[in-house]
Amino acid sequence: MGKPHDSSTMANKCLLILGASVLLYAGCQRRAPAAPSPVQEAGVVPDTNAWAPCVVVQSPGGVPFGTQMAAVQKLQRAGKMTWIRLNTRLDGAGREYHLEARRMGLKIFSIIALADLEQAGWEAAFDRLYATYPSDIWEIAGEISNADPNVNPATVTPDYYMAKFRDLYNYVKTRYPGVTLTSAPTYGTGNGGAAELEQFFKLGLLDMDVVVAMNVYSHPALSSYATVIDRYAARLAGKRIWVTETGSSNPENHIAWVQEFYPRLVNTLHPEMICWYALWGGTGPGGDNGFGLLDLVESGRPIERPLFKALAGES
Amino acid sequence: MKSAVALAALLCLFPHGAYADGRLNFRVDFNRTQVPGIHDDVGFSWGGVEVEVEKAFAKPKIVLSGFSLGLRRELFPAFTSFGQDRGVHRWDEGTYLMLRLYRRFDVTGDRSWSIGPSIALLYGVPGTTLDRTTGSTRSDGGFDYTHVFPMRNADVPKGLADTADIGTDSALFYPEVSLSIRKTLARGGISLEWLGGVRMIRFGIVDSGSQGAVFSERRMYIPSGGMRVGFRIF
Repeated sequence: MGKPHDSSTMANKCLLILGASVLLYAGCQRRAPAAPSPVQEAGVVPDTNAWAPCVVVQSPGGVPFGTQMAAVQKLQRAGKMTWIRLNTRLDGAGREYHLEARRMGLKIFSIIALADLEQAGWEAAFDRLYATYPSDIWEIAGEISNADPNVNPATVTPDYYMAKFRDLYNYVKTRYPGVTLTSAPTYGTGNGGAAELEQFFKLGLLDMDVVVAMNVYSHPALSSYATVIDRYAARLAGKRIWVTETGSSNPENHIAWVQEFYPRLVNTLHPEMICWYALWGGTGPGGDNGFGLLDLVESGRPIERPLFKALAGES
Repeated sequence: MKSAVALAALLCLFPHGAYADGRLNFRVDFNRTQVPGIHDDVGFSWGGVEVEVEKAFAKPKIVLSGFSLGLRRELFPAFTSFGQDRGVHRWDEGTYLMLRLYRRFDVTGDRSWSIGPSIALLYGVPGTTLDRTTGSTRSDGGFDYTHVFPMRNADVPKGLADTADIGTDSALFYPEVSLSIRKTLARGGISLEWLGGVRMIRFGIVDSGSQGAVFSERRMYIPSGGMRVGFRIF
């Protein structure tokens, strides 16, 4: 007579344990609510511990110049900006950004446009730009496979790039022994970046004492990079890796990008530095200021977006 | 992998009359490990969920009481490109196909309690879920780190890889052995299982610092604990 009762008790216990297990699991998996928490609403600054102190700053000059550099100074004083990535041009445009950044004590990461290298000749272009712009690291070309005419008038293949880059590397090592070069960043959307990166490796990039640059704008790109980075893990040990551009085009996701994507970048690519694209994306053709930490810079009265406020220590 | 597929095919050739029952099972589990590096250990833990269809034989075949085929997901919310949307679950991060072979021993006369070992073979794409790095920036700006990652050891079919925008050599194949205690309820219609197991995954370990760099490989035996609930469906 006792058996049905025992069986029922046991079944109840099992169901209780099952229920508890499911609740515990659900609790452990639960993510932060999408809506602002009461703590955030109370004015607490969001966590940006994963942030890396590097920001891409476009250099149109004019009214934006003062506004941009004031914002840069704000981030620098908050301890959130050590490196600034700046453009260079053969006509010397935007040199005031370099001079101001140097005066502020920032480290400068300069990018040389592929168009300028092709126009003047790679070694001659470097000579002229090196003499014009103060800089700590030189990135030799932007995304070589990016067909956006605002980035490149024409794309080049990894084979072409690496042949030119190797010649320039040898030239710079001889003529400017203390200079640090960075390879062209791979195009970090879709799956293209990883294939390009591996092609660079196969063509001898890891034989050079340079910084390996990557742009990473998507999870498929990061996941694909992981397979290449891990395959070459032994040879990459001791190499310097920079994520020279990352960011979200949705300002509402900027903070989440730092909180959730930056740690994944570090876990997967172990970069020495990660640069946010961008302080302000501009308003011209191709300008995509969804990425911008600031908006309406051209007006002289910029709007600080949430990530900027969080980095600057404002609620 | 080939032997696992061949074994699964053989099992499927058994006549239907040999099946005692078929179940739809759901499993949740937690996994934790500490991968030792030269400079630092890298610890991580993660959870997973599985759905499987199980077929049990009326009588053990060779040494097997049954087998199951399933799908495993290690939850991984992410962003779409350019971060336009977040919290998107990516199928190509931490997704595995699973074949499990098991033996079961009854421990009570009414066969409501049983215990049994099983071995599962998992094949899938870890994505970035098992990549971890600990590190610190030196005063000269250099970065000392210990990076651990799964040694991807299998291919993804090219068509699938192209569709998903992942590399063809980005898959991982590894075994898991486990022991479970099962309780059946409602005349066998529902089953509850408590299980503990060990996943065997080979990791690559890179220690890079100002003193130099060291690369090594290590097979890790990763404890896994969880629960499975099943419902008889045929």
